[in-house]
Amino acid sequence: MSSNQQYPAPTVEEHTRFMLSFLFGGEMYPTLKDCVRRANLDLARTVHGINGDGSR
Amino acid sequence: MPTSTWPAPFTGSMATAVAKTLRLSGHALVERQLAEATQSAIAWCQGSFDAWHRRACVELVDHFCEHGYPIFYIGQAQKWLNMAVKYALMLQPLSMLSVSHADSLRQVAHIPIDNFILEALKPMGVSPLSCAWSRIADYEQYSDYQTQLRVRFSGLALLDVEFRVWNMESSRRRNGSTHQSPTLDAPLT
Repeated sequence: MSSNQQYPAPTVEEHTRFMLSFLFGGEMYPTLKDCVRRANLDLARTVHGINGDGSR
Repeated sequence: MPTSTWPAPFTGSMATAVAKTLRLSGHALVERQLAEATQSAIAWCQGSFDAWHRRACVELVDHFCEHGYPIFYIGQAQKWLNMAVKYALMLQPLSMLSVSHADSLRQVAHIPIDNFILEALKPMGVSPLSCAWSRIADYEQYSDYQTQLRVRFSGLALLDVEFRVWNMESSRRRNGSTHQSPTLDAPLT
């Protein structure tokens, strides 16, 4: 496809969907499993009790 | 309270394998719990959701405790569960995920508690926790905090409050400003 190909501008909803999909590895229709995995990543990122060197 | 006196059940590669299995079964458990929350046959009310949430958090903590890892707290369980519910409710209005009785669930869902939101809520007259959020071991302590939020933001869905407060705190940190007369008086959109 040529680089000057014209695309219709996405709607606000399409844009929001596209941006949200980044949270789920690009998946446009995330499953409950994807939600659980993503939530676990958020937990892991903020959890206390593990030091930088891996010790507790 | 995770007070099991179990010793670590395995060591070396066996421990690694057990930990991996435990992690996977933990994910499967939360997925089943999330399915209960999002595929409910009847609409949620605050009482039914709170009861479900308590049962789910305790079950998750017990799951790790029973397998020799008494290091998983109510504070951690609530963050995992509440974020999963929040993501499902974020996807539903965009038809990216189907959620039964989404409107009722949105009205009663809890705020995921972590340092970011605690910091944001501090200047709004919300009493802080007496320990780190991830070290909440008593469900009553967690429950009391959510009740305090419901009283403070009476008439508003807590997830809407979280969305608003989160963005305010994020903006404040980007601008490097101090807290200034925070208010939620403007209508939530």
